[in-house]
Amino acid sequence: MAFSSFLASRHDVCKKLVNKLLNNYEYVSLLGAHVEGSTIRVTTHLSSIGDTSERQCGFVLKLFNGIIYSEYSFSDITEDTLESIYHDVLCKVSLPSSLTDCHVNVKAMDDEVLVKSFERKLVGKRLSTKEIIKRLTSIKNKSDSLSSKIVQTMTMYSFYEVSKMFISKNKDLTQNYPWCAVLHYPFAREGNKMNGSMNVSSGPSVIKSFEEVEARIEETVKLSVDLLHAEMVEPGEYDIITDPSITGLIAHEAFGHGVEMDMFVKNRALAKDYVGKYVASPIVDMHDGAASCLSVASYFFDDDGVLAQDTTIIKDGILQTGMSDALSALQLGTKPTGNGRRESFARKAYTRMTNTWFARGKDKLDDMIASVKHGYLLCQTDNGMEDPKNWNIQCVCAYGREIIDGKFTGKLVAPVCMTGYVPDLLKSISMVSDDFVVEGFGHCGKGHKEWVTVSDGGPYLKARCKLG
Amino acid sequence: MENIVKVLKETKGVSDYRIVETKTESCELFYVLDKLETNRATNIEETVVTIYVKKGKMKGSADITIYKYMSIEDIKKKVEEAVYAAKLALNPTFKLPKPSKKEVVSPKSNLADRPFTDVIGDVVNAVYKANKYKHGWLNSVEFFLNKKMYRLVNSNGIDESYTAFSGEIEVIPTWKKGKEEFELYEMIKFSNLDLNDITRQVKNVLLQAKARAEAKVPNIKEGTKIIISGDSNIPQIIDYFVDDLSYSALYNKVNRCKVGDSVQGEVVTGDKLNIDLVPIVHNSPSSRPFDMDGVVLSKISIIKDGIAKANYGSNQMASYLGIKKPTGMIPNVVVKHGSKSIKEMKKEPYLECIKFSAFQTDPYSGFFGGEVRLGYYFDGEKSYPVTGFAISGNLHELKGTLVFSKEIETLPGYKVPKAVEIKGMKIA
Repeated sequence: MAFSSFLASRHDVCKKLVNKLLNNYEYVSLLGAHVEGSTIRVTTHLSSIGDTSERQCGFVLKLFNGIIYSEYSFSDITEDTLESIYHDVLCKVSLPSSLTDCHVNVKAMDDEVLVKSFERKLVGKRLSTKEIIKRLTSIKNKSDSLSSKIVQTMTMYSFYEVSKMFISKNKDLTQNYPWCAVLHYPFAREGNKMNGSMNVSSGPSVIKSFEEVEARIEETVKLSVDLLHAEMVEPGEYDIITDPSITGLIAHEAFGHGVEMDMFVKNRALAKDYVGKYVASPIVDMHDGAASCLSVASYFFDDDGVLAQDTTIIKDGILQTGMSDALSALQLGTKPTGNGRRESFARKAYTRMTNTWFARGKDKLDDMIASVKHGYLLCQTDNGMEDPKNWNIQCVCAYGREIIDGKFTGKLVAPVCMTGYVPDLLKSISMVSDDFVVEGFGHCGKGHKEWVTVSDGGPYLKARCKLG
Repeated sequence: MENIVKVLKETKGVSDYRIVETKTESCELFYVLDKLETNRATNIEETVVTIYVKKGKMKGSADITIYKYMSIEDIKKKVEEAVYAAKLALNPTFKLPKPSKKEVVSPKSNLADRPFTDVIGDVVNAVYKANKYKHGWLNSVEFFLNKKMYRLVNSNGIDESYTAFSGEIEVIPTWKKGKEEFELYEMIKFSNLDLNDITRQVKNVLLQAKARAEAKVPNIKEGTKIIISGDSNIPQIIDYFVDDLSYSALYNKVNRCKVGDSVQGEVVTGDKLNIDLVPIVHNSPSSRPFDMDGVVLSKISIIKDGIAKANYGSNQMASYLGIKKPTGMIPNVVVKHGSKSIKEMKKEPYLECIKFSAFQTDPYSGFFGGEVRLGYYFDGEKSYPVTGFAISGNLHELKGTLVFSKEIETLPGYKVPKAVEIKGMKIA
């Protein structure tokens, strides 16, 4: 576990390239990214070992010529290729004036002096490939044996180590940190009815991730089998209680995308007009930030070289601010919040969420359930889609448990689609539990692309919403 | 490539290998409103090597990525680690594909004719040519022109290459009504440049944004039939049938149908499906002549008149199922037109759903539907734009009722009817 020796070996030549390009551009920065790791799968039928899907290795330059920002992504640079890369950059990012005549009004980014190296180590020991396969096989065997209705169990271990290097005229930053995830997904079948259920744990500890998944094998298998008999929910408006996964889905999809401030630049977010106003019930606080908690999006500096922060988005129901990348902040005249993220060195940086969550409250979950006349406990994120301009919600929950007169009836509904208007949902929050879970296994796209790792979560929330 | 092959041949324990080399070049522009904010260029390469080891009747594999910076010593170390790992992930053995006599031809594209830096200005002009409305505009537009060069080498002697060109334009059309603004999302993808068609598509999404601004929550008569069109909504419905016939679904015992079965159930009141898988379809960016195992692809029919005719899938899965001639992973789904023109579909009251926040189909539970951002409701007398509702249904129950349009369109990975008529979905 150490900072990438490849990036370290390219540090000096990258610095030379940045300095050389500063003769041509007002602002130059370079991000080097090297992410390595592995993904191991053991299923009922097959096993496989591969590279992590997060893998990347290369560099991206950000340049400002006094008119527009340009970027150039490339795989490698050495002393021998420095000159050719330099000329490639000048050639490949130059555009005819017919395209650059009409441009946004920006200036060079602030480039404060900052030289620092950051490191977060793995918690506990790392397991060998042999030990991981043995442990995954054990989960798979147990899962398969618990019910004859399980036709396939998928287990997966994912581990990767991120190394990034940011160099500009005044900044020289490096960071290195690991992340691990373990997944168990039993798939049940009865005739043509089929259903799976997710059991996942992630964090900086391999051992803890395994232990948490192993502790939930029975309940996950039971849920997969029980969901074979789930019904579709009768469309209508209900009292709902969201589990931390669905709480996170609301924080992320329903509201979070709308406060990504590149959307403010484009006037694409309704939230821009709501800063300082109530957007949620007064018992609601919401945060985002790579430094807001320890999860999958907890880095030390973002892909713009801005240090990680804990940003309070909603305080006592009032929208405080959004989150932003450096270029958006520059256009808005605000300070960047450390949310500039790229899918990889080969893609553009956008304002992206990191770890997004609602703060815990004072209510007890049992009291919340007891207060529901007819509604559902909504569980397990399936998917969601943002609508920052018009604040419509689409959040799909894997399943819901019916509650009548404060008690679970045993009836399951699946899947459950939440719809409605975001502020209506947030303002309807009437109870917030004292629990707090943030799960770091997900990926999030911008529109339908630019996938980055994100986490979200919080407590259980009681609210009112349309389900279908 | 030569260094990698040399190391693989010299490393003890490597029984077979597959090398996939990808080189990518792109030219990208990012606009905020009609002003250029950022331009980007990329020039990157990556090589993914799959190492196979034999152990009795079992075969293990491990994937590693080799980067340009790696020395022969670095590659050797990675390969040796992969050999060790592959021995721990053993599966029933199978043989890698051999060279084919079929000719490998890159998908044709006029994007190959000129440098991207010349072409992209024309694409920008084609998009903004449609941006001519007083109350509607393009909020932000992103342009991507991509060239990807693939080379696949395996230990059985396959050494094939192709180059694929593609373009993507992400468009956010916005319309203002009173003080309120309404937007939609559109990703236009192509592999052959047609500037007039780009202008037409952008104009169309701007007018859809106008319709969304004018849309109201509908008051729909019970039993109204639903028409689904637009975006990748129909491909999602089609995938429900196609995915079920993969070798993988069959091997993992999660398939509903086997060859010879009626994929739409015993009673089919709608159109009977005819589905082919085709390697290269004009203007489909998914087109490719061979798959990631090196299997050179050919057209096959998987569903004919509603009956499953064939399974399809990878070389490894074919081997496990005892199939001697694997189809390979064929990238384009081509569906024969249906029995009704869109005009005929719209003769009686209907609710047409065009834009969803995210249309979902779950092949296992059968659930399909989503929140509708734009649709049109025809109550028998007049048609008007609608929004603010969701539709849902179960394809396990409704799969026999689908009626497809006579009109066809090409989307990435699909050539499918433009619209489908469904009865029995719930509206909330």
